[in-house]
Amino acid sequence: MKKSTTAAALVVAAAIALSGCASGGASSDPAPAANPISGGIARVVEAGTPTSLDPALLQNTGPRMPVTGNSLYGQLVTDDPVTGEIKMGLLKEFATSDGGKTFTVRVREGVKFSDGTPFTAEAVKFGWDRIKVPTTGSSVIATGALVDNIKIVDELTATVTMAKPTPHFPSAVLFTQMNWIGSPTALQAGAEAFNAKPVGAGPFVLEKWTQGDVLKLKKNQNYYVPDLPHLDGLEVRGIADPSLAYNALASGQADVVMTISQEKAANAVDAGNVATPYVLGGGNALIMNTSKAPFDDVRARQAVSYALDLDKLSEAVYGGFGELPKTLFKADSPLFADVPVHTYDREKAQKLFNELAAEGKPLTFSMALFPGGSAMFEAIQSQLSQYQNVKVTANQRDQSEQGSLPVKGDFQMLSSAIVFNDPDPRIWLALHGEAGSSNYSRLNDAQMNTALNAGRDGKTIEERAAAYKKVAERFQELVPMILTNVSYFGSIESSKVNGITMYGMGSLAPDTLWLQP
Amino acid sequence: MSITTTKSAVKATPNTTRPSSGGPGVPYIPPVKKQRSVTVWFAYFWLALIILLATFAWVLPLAPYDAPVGSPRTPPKPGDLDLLFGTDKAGRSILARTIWGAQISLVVGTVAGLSGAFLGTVLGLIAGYYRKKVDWVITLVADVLLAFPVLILLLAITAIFSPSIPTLVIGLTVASIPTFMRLARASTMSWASREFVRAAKNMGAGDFRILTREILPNLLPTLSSFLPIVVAGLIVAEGSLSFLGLGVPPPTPSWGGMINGASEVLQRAPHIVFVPAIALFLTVFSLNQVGDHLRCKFDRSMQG
Repeated sequence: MKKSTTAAALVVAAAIALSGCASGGASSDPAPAANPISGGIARVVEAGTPTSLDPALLQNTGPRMPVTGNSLYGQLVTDDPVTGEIKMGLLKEFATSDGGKTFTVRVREGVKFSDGTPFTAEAVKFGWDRIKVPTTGSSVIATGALVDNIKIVDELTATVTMAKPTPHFPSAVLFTQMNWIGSPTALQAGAEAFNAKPVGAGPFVLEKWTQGDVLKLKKNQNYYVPDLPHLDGLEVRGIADPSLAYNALASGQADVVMTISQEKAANAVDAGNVATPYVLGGGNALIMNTSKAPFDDVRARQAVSYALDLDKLSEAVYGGFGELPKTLFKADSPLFADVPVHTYDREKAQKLFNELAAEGKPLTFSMALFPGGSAMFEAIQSQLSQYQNVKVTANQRDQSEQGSLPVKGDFQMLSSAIVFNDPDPRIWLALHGEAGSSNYSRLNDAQMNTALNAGRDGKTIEERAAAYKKVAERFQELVPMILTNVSYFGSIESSKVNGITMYGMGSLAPDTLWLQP
Repeated sequence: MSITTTKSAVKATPNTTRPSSGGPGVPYIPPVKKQRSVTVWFAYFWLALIILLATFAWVLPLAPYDAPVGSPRTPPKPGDLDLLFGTDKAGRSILARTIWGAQISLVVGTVAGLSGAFLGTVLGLIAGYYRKKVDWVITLVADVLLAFPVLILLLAITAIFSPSIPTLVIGLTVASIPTFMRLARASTMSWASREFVRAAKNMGAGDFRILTREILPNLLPTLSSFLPIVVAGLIVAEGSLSFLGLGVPPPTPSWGGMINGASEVLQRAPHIVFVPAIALFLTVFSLNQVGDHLRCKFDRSMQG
């Protein structure tokens, strides 16, 4: 048993490493192996449970509710996991000719929402405008704020003017719920009416939704892609705990489970299932809030970073299946810089803790915890208990706050992630002083800001690489976050499931799914 | 007063236990052997052990419950005190965490049980003695609380006021008040109609004196024999809440929390779940045995 687990882990690790060789990282099949079969209902488990079906309030990352969003709303654009190239979905054109100052957005002809109303440029404008507005309550308000204004040219075309030149704006869209557009008429009817009858242009429509339990979807007969979706319906459940989610697959209650646990993926393969990993740059990170005490002092952040033995942490939290990122970019990325992000040094750590205590402010902080996340906290607390003058306590929060807490900045330390394929604009959004709420650590450093802008605007790979090397160096000096694991996304599914395609941050698009009976 | 009466009643029934030494035709009846149950003795022993360990946890030569003593998920290694039961996911000593966890479980269970018993008894005495409107109101409140599934009530309380030991104790106290209240009320109603209570009233005793000096002493045996069983239930409830992530906040160990934390590595390192689970089982089992034993003892004397 143990031997085959190790073997399976090596296979998965090899698959991850190999998939990482391409600058993107998903190892989905380029062409379907057999002819897809129509029919059947797939049962999918994802980690997030929606409290509303408003596309602005869902979250489009692998660990949240990608299947819910992609089913109801389709995708404006997707990306090729290997080359990073943007591929069109509901949009026919999404390009810039002036270096990212403005974009032309053209909607595909003849697409209708599931209530029969036409899918127009106006709908895209409505969807993107409302994400910027604080009253909507979207977790990606900062991405929405990249847009300055949108002008409708004709029924299917719009010109988007950016607040600052953002050459890689389409990438930002597909990594977030800006990729999902709901019908403006339905959205304007109010939240309750919309939740009862959500209207989008996706491959599935709502059949029945029991909040907190199962979301039942049925095939949208008027989906704009002919012959898709293959399935007759989907049942989507949200299970936050990774073990419970895995058990759903193991016990045959689910066909596909979205997972970010390398260990569970290895277990699944062990049990005769299939794991489809999707690894990106950056990684899981302990984010420290630099805008408030005690982490507004760089020495406190450096001290905690020096103090943690990340290999032991990974062993405790990821069961030996984790992979520690040593640098900000993956080794095969053209923007790779050999700047280590972390050093383990007990003496330096204790020295800094003592220094802070001598000034009358011994380091005491709280780590925000969500249900299922206590393993990370306990491993950190256990390691820090070995030092003097440092104390960490648990700040337990409810699952429903997972999207809003980092946006509000209501934490001192938080376990989250910095994830990117192309670093722009995601690294910019995560680390730039003017990024707003997407910059969870609220870092605002002049040198970092300049380097990020240079990386965004660089015309050649060499220019960008030099800029991002500076970013990595500042990252190492300022320690706004501590990377604990690679950005592992993916799914585990029974061998009956075929046609898994993902884009963005491990977001599964269910229109190509089909079941082998 | 009434206790003395009952005690002498016990003493007055020895005939069947003495061997008959009568004349011809009278059969020899051997004395009834007093049954000493092994499980009851074990139960007392286990409780004494766990209470002793929990009380003196500070002076025992144990590792601190949050300090790593080895690599994660080490299996039990007899010979090394810290590694006697192995290590958990963060490399901490399971022996140390189990004993400190005993402290939490026992303290939470006992404090909540005693508070619930105290408050429930007071309410039950008042309801059973005064009857009419007061009784109606108190019974209604108790029935409403009893109608709630206990775990849902506890989940609601801990979700609203974030999880902490005081919140837990308050929640568990509230959950156990109705049971004690009903027991106290029923016993009070039965005792309040007795002649000695009437006699005390005629002699001029006030209500408070009657409640505390006449009725309450008769309730104590029944209530105290019920208490261990309730405490056992509260320890399990605390374990369930910790399992659901709403119990004692980390890193403070509690048996339920330890079981929850290791549930995902059950296959690879079962000892992390089994050690606290066995401790929890033995403690709850022992409490139930002790409660039953006490109930038998007092019930017999009451029936006398």
